[in-house]
Amino acid sequence: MAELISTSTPDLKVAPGPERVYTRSEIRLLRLRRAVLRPEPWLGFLGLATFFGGWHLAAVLDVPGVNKLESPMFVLREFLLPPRGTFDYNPQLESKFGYGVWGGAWYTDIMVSVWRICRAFLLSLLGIPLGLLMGWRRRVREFVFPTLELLRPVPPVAWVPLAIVMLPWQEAPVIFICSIASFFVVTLNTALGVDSIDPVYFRAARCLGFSEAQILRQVVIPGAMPFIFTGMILGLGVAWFSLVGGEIIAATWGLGYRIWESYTSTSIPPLLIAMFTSGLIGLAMSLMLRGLQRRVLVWKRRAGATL
Amino acid sequence: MSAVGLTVRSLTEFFRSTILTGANLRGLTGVAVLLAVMEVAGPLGIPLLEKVPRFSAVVDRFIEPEGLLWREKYWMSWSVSLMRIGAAFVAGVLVGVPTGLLWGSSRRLKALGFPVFEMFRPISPLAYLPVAIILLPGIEVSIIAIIFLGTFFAVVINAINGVFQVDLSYQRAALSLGASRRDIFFRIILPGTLPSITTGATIGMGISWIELVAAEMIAGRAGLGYLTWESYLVGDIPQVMAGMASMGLGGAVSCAVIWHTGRLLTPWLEDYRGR
Amino acid sequence: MEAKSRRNAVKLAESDAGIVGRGQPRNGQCGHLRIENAGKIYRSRGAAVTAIDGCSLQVPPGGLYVVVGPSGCGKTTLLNAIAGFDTLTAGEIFLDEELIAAPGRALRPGPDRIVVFQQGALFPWKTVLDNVTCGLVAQGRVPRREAEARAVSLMGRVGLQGIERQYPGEISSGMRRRVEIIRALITAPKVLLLDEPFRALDALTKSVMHEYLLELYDMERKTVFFITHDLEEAIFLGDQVVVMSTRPGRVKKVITIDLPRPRNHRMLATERFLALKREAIEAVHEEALKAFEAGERELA
Repeated sequence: MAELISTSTPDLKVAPGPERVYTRSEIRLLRLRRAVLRPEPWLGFLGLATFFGGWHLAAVLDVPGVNKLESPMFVLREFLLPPRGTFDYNPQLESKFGYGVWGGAWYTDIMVSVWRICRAFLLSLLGIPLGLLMGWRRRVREFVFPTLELLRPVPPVAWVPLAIVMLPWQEAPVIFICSIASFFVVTLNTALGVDSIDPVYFRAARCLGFSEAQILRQVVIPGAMPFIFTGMILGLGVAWFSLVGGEIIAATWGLGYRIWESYTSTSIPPLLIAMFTSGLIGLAMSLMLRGLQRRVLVWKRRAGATL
Repeated sequence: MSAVGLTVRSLTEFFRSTILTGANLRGLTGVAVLLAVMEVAGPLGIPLLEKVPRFSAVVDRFIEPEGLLWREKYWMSWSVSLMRIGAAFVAGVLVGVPTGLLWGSSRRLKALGFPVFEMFRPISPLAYLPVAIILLPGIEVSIIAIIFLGTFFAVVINAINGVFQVDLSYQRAALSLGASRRDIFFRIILPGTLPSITTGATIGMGISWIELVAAEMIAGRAGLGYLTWESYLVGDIPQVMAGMASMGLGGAVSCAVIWHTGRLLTPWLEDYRGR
Repeated sequence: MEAKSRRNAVKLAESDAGIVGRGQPRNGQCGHLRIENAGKIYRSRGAAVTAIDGCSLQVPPGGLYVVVGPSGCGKTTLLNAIAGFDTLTAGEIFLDEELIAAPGRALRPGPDRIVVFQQGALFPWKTVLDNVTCGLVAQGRVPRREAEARAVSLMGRVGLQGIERQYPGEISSGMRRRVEIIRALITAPKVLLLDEPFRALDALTKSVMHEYLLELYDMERKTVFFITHDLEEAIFLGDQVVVMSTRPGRVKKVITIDLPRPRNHRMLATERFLALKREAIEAVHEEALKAFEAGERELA
């Protein structure tokens, strides 16, 4: 038997030694290389370039309408260059409106908007306990659901006048409407999440001797977690969108306020800068939540779901 | 037991089992509690809630002699809002569905357009209002344009997702039966994505309604949102709430219409868990 | 605190007899299940469906009792009644002479009769180790560290070492079933209820799982109540096989399996096994035909 299995086989083309183990940075490099060699990223660049190029061309050629909207190059310069007076009022080297990385207003607007959304979002997370209760106990759902469904269709911005009347504090109306917008989404998704838990898990938990509190903590909450995260991500998105409207109507400072104020004072670059900043921050917050989701839902990711 | 007696008994049984169920009663109780709080918060002086108009005052605004239900202006507001939403929504679906399907099917085309799309999607449609007013002739068109944007983004994302979800086995089965690429697109992919498209359309309608109202409150000259804002400016808070209720009703009904239309279009789906 | 932990320690010593030791059933540890005239009638929209009617069974302590029958014969109903998930409309069920199910009695599922479910009920959000220990920890019988040590040693003994930190979604379905059985056994129930646990496995994995279950059973003779639709599985595993008739479910035939323990897969081809199978087939096939025709009629 031993002769059939030879330890030295010079004829066989087998790679010597153990299989290659790639380090994480090597894998990243390989992925980058593969990504760059495919046509898709380049097409993406082409699309973006076409868009910005077309815009720039239209502005330069004085196309009616677009000419009031500055060219992208101008907006970029406005954003990056220091304010008037830094270089002896030389318009080539200075930003006309001063709204950008050098000006304080941009940072203040960002901070004000983000702080508002943080407070509104945290407030709306009260929907999670309510949703858990609604999903877990049928009686609670029967009481609460019709009332929620009655109030939900009212658009968030429509709450502004009432909020101004009800809540006499400065920031309250804006925060209120953003949290209302998010609250409904969070509550309903959480309730849906509890619903989605297979009843067999409840049976198994009872068989194992879990008390009701233990079932809540070890079955209901983890089981509903995927939906809770979906609700939070959607809720944050809805709240951020509502923030713009709220800030236009009822606030000072903030990105939404800046957008409208720039429009009424016909200062276009701040308008565009505020718009894009709003989009960027919304995206960043969404990505942060998704990152948190990946951390918390480790079990789902390991089982193969894409998060 | 006479025939009349039997009918009466079965009717009451029906009434009891479907309308007067425990669940429905509990739901009604919940709503009743809300309305009761609204009604008594003012006279009782509950902090914060006392400023909320009384429920009876809001109802009055509708049905009193000079009430909203009788005034032409109110119904004009409805029609203006509905027309705006109708035009914008239809445009959003007509442009969004083909775009989404195309991008879902062809990776190259998606790579071309999607980055620009994703660049603009995180920006609230309402933030586009000033740009729209600048670029487009007239406020009316601008409002319709931003509602269109809201619907468009929702429909495209869901359509792409829908194509992704169509089971590969169906395409393979079709290929083995001798279908052409065109056949596969129109008879496998398109019906297969209808559920997702419906979801996208419902979400889009919801977003549309929200953006419409906001736009009308900010910059409109007519419509339900403008009516509500105007009521606020003159200090008529019960009418503000009447406006809110109308807008809520409009939003709910329009979303329900879209959802049921979608359900009609997809008779093969048996359960509709969650909307 | 001192007294409590001492009391707990005594309780542990008593209840811990099971998995750690080998061989003979201990009195008071393995359950004697007695079912008297159990009946269950479902009412839906006015129509009444009799699921089981007049079922009487005696499961001896430490016996591996298998109930076999086609789908819809009521075996799941019976198991649900024993486990405490569903009420009976007639009859009584006793566990160690204690009434656990009767018409009008409140449902009380508990750790003395644990179920291993058909589609698997390992909590996907807990690691394998957490799943196995959660019963012991939740009941407060054992501190967490001790429970984990026990779980690790037990899993090591049955060939499941190394997967403690993984999640159920990552391991194979065969492993999941094994972990679920371990989870049930480690809490030392009086009766182990198995609801067609191997139904979703492919035939090859299934035969390995049979030997695995018998190995666990031989380590410690617990009362096992096993329901299945697979006749060979029933005869291979059980001390006694009960054939149930289809709607309404009644005990049609009780076959005593006298194959010697420990059993292995070679017995599947012996004369005795085939004779037993012959005896059972007649009874089961008739019921299977009836169930099939009943199903056809419902659809038509």
